[in-house]
Amino acid sequence: MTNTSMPYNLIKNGIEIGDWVIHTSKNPILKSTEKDEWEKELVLNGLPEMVYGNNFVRLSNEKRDITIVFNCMDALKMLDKVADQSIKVSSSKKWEEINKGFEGQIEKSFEWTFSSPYTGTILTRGHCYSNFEKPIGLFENTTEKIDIEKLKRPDPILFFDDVLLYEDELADNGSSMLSVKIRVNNESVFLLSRFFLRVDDVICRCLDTRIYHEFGKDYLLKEVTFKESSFDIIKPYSENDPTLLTDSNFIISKLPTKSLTTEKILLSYNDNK
Amino acid sequence: MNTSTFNLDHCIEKLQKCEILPESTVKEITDKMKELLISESNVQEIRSPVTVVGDVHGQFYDVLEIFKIGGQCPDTNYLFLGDYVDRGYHSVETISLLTCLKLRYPSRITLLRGNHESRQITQVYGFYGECMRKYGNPTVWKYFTEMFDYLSVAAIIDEAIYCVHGGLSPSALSIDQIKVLDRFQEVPNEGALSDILWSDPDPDRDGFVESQRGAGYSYGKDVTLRFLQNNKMQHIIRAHQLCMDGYQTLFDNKLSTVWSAPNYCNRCGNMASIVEVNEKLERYFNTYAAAPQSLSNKPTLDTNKELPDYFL
Repeated sequence: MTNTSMPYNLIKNGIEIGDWVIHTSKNPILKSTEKDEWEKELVLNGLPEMVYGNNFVRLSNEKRDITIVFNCMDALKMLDKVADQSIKVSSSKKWEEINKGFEGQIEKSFEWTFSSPYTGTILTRGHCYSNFEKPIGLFENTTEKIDIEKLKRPDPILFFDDVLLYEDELADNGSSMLSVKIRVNNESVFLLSRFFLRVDDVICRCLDTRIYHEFGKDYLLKEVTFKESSFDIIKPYSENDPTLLTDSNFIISKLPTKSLTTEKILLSYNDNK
Repeated sequence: MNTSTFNLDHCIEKLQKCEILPESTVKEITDKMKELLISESNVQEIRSPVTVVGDVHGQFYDVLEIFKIGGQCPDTNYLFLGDYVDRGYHSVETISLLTCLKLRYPSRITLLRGNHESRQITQVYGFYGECMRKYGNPTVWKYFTEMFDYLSVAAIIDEAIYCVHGGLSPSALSIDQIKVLDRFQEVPNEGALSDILWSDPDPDRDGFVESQRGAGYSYGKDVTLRFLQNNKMQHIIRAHQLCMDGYQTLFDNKLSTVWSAPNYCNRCGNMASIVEVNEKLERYFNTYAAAPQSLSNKPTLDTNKELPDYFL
C-alpha cells in the first residue's frame, strides 16, 4: 500500500485526515469540589495535586468503529488503592529515627507516587477496553517496530499538541506526571503518552506508550516501554549540574529498559461483525 | 537604611521593568538585608491593616499585578508568606524586587521564609538554574540562599492572627517555643523549623498525622483549635498548597490557605488571591487571574516549544 498525501481538514483543536478524526481537549485543573467527587468515585484517599480531569487526546475512526483515547479518569482508575511501601522519600530514614516516639496516626493510604500502568483506552462496539482487557481479534503480536527513521524526518507537522493529564510535586520531593503528545503529518499519526516519576534521591521511573499509524494501513502499532532505576544512575550527572534533575528527557535517556512490548491494534476487528 | 552606597529607588525602578541587578548590587542588597533581618524575631509582630500574600514562585508579572490590585508599597502594608523562588521564569527578578522593597520600606513589608527558600530545594526546582542562566555562575544564588537563612518564620497580626508558610509542628506547640528556635541555618530535614515550613492541614483526620511519603506531618482540626486556644490566637493564615480558587478555608473558618500564583507553572489555569486583613481583623480574599504579561512573556528558552516538536 502506498502512502500518498491524505486530504485533510483542520478543525478546532484537531484534524480530520483520511478516515480519522484526531482531536485534543485542554482545560484548567479540577476545582477542589470536583476533586472531592472524583476521590469518592475512584475510591482513592488522595489524588494528584493537579488533575486535568477534562483533558484528553482522542483518535477516532468512525468507519472502522475504533476510537483510541487517553484521559485522566481512566488513568487514575488504574492506580493502586494503597501506597507502595517500598518507596519512601529520601529523608524518611532520618525522619523515622527522630520520630520514633511519635504515637499519632499515619495518613490514610494512597498511591502517593501516582504510578499508573495506564496505556490508553480503546472504545469499540460500545465497549471500553483499557490495558489488560484484550478482546480476541483486536490485538495481534508483532515483531514490527515503529519506524523511527521516518519519524525523524522533518516532514511538515499538520497538527501537534501536548496535553497534561495529571501532575503532582510529591510535596517537593520530586515529580509525578502523566502527559500525552501527538503529532500528525501527511502520512501518519504518532502519539506518545508518558508517565514519569522522580522521587529525589530515591527512584526514577517511566512508562511510555507510543501509538503509530500510517494512514491507509489496516493496523496501528502500539509500543509500551517501561524504564526504572534507583537514583544512583542519575546522581553522578546531577552532582555536576543540578538543573539536569528537572530535565525528564535527559533522565529517561539514562534509565535502563525493563520491558518493551509491541503489538498491533487491528482495524479489521469490526469488519465481519 | 540611609548609608546605602547604591540607590534603592533606582534598583526598584529597574526591577519593575523586569531587568536584573548587577551581581555586585545583589551582593550589597543581600548583605544589607542580612543586617536588617538579623534583628528581627523568629515571630514578627505586625499591625493591621495588612495584606497577606501566599506562594508567588517567580511569577514576576503576577507579583506586579498583586501591587496593582492590592495597592503599591508603601501605601499598603504587606506580609509575604514565602516561596518567592522556583518553578516560575523570574525567580531572580521577584526575590530581588521584594528584597529592595523590604530595604526601602522595612516597616511596611514583612517577608517570611517558605520551604523553597533553601539551598537544597532551589537546586532542584529552578532558582539555581535560573541564576546560572542569567549570571553565568552560581554567585548570586549563593548570596540569596545565604540571605534566606535570616528570614523570619512566622508573623502575628494584632496578637490575633498567626501567619506561617506551612503550619504547625508537634515539637513546637507554643509560639514561645517557636520564638527561641535557632532559625539562622539551612532548612533542616526534620524538627520544628522544618515542620513549620512544610506541613499541611488534614481535613479528614485529627491529631498530627504522618505522611504516606515517609516524612512530614499534617495537622488536624483538633490540634489546630488547641494551638489557637493555647496561644490565644483567633485564626491561622498559611500558604504552601495550590488552591484552584486561590484560597481555601478549613476547620470552621479557623484556618485559611492563601495561594498567590495564578495559572501556576503556566498551565494549571487556577485563580490566585491575597488576603486583605483590616483593622477589625476581617479577612477579605481579593482574587485575580494571571496577568496578561505573564502569559506572553515566556523566556526564549521556552519558545522552542512553539516550534514543531519532532518528539520520538
